[in-house]
Amino acid sequence: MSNVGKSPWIIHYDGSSCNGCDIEVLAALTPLYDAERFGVVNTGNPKHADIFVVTGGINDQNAPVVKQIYDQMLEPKVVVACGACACGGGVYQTCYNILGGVDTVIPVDAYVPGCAIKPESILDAVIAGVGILDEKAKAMKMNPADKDRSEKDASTGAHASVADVDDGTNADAE
Amino acid sequence: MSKRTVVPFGPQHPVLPEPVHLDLVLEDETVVNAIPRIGYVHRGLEKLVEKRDYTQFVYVTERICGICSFGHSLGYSECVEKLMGIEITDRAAYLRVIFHELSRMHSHLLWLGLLADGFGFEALFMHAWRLRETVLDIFEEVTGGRVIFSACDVGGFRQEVSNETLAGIVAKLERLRDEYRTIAKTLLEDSSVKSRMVGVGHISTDKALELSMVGPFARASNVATDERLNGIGAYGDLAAFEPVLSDGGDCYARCDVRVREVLQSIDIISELVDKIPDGEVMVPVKGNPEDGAQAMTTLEQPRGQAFYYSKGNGTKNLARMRVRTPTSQNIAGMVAALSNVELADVPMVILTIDPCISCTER
Amino acid sequence: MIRFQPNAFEAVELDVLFETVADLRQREYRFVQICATTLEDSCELLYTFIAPDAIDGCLTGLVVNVPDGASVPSITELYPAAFVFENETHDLFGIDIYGINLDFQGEFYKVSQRFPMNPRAAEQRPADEGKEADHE
Repeated sequence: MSNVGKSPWIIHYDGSSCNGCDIEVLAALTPLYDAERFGVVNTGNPKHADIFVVTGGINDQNAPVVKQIYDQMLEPKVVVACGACACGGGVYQTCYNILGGVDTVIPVDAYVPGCAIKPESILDAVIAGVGILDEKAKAMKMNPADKDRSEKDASTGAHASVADVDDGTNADAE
Repeated sequence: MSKRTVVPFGPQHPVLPEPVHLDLVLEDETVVNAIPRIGYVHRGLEKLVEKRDYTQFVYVTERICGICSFGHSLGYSECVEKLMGIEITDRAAYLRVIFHELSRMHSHLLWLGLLADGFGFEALFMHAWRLRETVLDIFEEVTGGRVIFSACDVGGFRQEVSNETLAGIVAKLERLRDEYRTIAKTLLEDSSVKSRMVGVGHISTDKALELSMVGPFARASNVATDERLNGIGAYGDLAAFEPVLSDGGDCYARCDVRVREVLQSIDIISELVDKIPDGEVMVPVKGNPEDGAQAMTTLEQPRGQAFYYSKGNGTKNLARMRVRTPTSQNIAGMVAALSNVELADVPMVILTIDPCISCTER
Repeated sequence: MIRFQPNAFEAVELDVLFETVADLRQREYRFVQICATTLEDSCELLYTFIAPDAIDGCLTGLVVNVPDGASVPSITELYPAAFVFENETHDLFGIDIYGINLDFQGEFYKVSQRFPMNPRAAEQRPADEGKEADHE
């Protein structure tokens, strides 16, 4: 656990799931599993979130909403696809109204299998997500192109991203 | 007259675990109309019946909704059994009702937590969910799954649950009862909680009947509707059954009804565990539903009356499977409850209906 | 122990549907649901009600045959809660229902396919101009 670099705030969205994974995501935050001990806070605001937890196989009506939440999040960001449906459509794969997985709409960093997923695996995924988050932040520091994108993001959002703080020109902020 | 504004609510909203969209038409801070917009969770499960045979479809119905999962597999199984004339054993019927009531407890405890979270009482949310884990532990111990556990099947109950295990379940629930009473007291007697709920989102008895409301939402408006009264299956063997009613009609009454229903469920489980007969839990299921045969059944789910319809066509696939869930019946009531409430109370009024969007849209 | 919930099915002609439902409303029947089924050359609507004095929760089902292209009167005037099912029936089965108290004009479920539960209707009535253009 010593490698958890920052407190990951999560935003959760139900992309056409059956609810089973959603209630397990919430259960992971409550006293028995207590994700809050790792600094995990469930936020309703995409601009405050580091990790986007998506459940369900996504339908056409949901796709723009998922995209919008993803776009509103600041870099670096991590997407965790929770449950069999989010990974590839699951039991609904052949339904007429299912696109079949979160990665049909946005890039996914971590896949969590299971129907319904267990809270333990959500904890695992979030911790893994923090590792990816750290890597992404490091990469952004090295790669100015990413930094530009992040500044563009920041100009549309209200908050500074990690990259801005880490920037040499913002040395005072460090 | 003040100017009207339209405030979009959802699909992504902090109090909603599920996506639903409402256009709230406001005059100043007061809601004058609410227009629901659904379809975010529509998957098209009723069509899947053409690709899965009637025994496989149990697993699909379980995944209509993760909260009402057991209820849906039970309702579907009952409907197909009626369609094919399969008589399950008494022990299976008892086990089904015991697990259905446990599901009701888990659903209501989940809801109590969400409600507390909805008005900013986070400690109460955590405590309600901590107690809920007791019920989920029982599920996990007996079946291996926490929320979706494939225990019910066409022809009975998938696994034998020993009388010792059942006695253990009752002992656990008795311990839960005392702790639960403390939480219930906070929820029902705390003055700040009361000030948020009393008189908000009122629906009269006549209105509830006119809008065909079901479940705790209707019972809180003093409508004695409860499918358990029909006495189908093991419910018929209960010594007495009275639906929990309240005449308040507001958010507080809906909370009160659900709080008392949890205790009622513990009583039902204890009574059935005492009376459960010995015997097999599965009967063999052979053949296919007849061409043209049709069956309708209802079931009292945590959120109210659910309806199941199935039609056979002589093959192993059903010609049509229909699930009408309690929330779809309550949408008209929800819209009515939302008129004339303050904008700040909207999340709470929506929560007290206990909407289950996954169920509604299938 | 009662095993099975009793059912009562009754066939009703489309042109007397509204009067039949109005009569049930008069007798304080409670509304349960509307279910559509695609048959070989027509559609079938099943309206379900529960009588106020139903024994063992007996369900009353009105079975209405709807030929392709026929319009069905809305019962939302009698049972306002039916708007959910009537909009759904239109969006998934392509059955026209007129006079709904809250008519979403085919936008209740925004599905990726037109009338997914009724391929025949989707074939006969391709998407109108502009409508559902998002999915194309």
